[in-house]
Amino acid sequence: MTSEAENRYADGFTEDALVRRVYYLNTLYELNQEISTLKDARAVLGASLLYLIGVFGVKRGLIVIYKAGQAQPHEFAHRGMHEDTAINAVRQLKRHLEDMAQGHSPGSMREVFVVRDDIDSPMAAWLKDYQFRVWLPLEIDEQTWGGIALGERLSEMTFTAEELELLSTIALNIQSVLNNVLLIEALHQSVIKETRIRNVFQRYAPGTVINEVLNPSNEALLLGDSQAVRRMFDEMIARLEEQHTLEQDLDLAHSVQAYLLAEPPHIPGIEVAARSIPARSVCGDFYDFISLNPYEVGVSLADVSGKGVSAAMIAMMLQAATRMCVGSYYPIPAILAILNRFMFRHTEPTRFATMFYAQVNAQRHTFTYSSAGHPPAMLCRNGVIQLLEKGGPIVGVFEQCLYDQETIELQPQDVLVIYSDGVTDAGVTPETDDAFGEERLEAVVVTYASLPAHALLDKISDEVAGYASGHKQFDDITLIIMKVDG
Amino acid sequence: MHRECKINVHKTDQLVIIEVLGDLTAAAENAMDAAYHEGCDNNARNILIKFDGKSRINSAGIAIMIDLVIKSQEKGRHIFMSGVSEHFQKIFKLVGLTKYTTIVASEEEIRNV
Repeated sequence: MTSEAENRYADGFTEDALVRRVYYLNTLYELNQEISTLKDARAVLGASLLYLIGVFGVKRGLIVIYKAGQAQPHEFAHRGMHEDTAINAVRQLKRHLEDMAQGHSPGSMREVFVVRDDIDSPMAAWLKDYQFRVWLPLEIDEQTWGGIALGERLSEMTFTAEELELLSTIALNIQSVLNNVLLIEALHQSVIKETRIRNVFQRYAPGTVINEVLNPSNEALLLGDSQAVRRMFDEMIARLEEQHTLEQDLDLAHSVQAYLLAEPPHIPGIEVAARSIPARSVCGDFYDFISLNPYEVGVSLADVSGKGVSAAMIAMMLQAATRMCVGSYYPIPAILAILNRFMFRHTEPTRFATMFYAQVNAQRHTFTYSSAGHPPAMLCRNGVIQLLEKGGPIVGVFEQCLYDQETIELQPQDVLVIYSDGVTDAGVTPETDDAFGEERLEAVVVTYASLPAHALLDKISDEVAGYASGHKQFDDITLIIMKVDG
Repeated sequence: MHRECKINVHKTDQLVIIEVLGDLTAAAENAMDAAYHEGCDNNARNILIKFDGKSRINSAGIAIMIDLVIKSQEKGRHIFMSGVSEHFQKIFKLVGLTKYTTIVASEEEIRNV
């Protein structure tokens, strides 16, 4: 590593902090990898708790989910405590959560709860009785909820804000996986019922159902091969089930992504608008706004290579990792360097991302940015476009990368346009590469720079859609517009 | 990707050595638990977890270590560790494992103590 890089790393964080951060990111990644392959809720809870115990170094932990209308917990897992103690704990917890939900007890079942001596409530008493230090709720859906309780740490340290942020991110991942697993469990139950019905038909009216669902000209039917017909029927059911599951997975992934796309923030003196239009059900692009303090906001826009569910999953991981890095006030080049190493270590060599990250300070009127191989953002000032090109390589290809940053002094009426290449590549087809292009985008921005941010966003979207009209959208389209009041 | 984990147990009256060859992850939990019980069926007070110097230990592996530490404390046993890379020594310190265990260069160091 060069001396320049050492200086950058010395600017605000230590080697220990870097080790801690990479350890946390690795845990987030590996936990997600592990639980996303699991098929039942109990296994997901057990694996999740194992990682939580290890990442925070806690002596005991409990993770539980309840379903409305069920007296017993749907599933739970525990570590560092006896089975009887854990059973008592989850029974009592259900009462406290229901009391809170019905307003009979102070507190909210949706809040992170950290035990303190000065807080006195039934929930606090429950946590203390079972030697827990922190409670984090899980909300799977309206009918399914629960939470995570973690005990005293080996280090005897309290949980920091950064660690609670990590815990929240992990909980979000666990919720997503549990949602999926519980859907599959429910589907499995319905398949069992359906199989019973089919068995009844086959016993009492063999062939009736089969003749209805298969084409009468089918060769097996004509030949009277009942075994072959039955195999076809079973294969067809299996394909339908698989298709149904895939569609549910896609719907779920789409919902999770939509949930993760942040609302444009309120920044004093700056209007913000953003939009992402996926080429498929889910998106390999993401944008995000992270509030750093009342006057400063982190803004990210990234484009993960590939499309569909695999790209969307990596995009979600990258978004979570970005939020964790940004929360600790690292310099922007360091944030991109950490994210680069994270992507390099944990994705296939063919996976990478371009990314633009900036911090807008409304008090100092500054916009500090760095671009990791991303199409240059545009600054439109007095009718002239300036491309924001400082940065470094795309993330995920090289293990060590250095990034530059640049600070722009914002002026009244400045317009900033951050976008993914789906905007400028719109209109490209396998037959022609006549894309919308940077020049058209610059022209639209200059022409309509006087419009409010959301109106300019609509105008650019309309122009792109009009240009690509009649052509299939091949790439995700993502745009952020920021306009300084004047 | 993780390296497969193989666990061997050697025991004397004084010391139980649990040798971990490969990466310590969730997949090794049952084997580590079995090794602990096999090794600690006598009155040995000291346990050495001997990593191979290249072992990668993720959060799930650390949770397994925490489990062994708590079990050992309840029985008045002490855990030593060797072959832990500098990086993972930092991780062990971060999660508080070094408060309850002792990192040594070799098993000779324990015998000398």
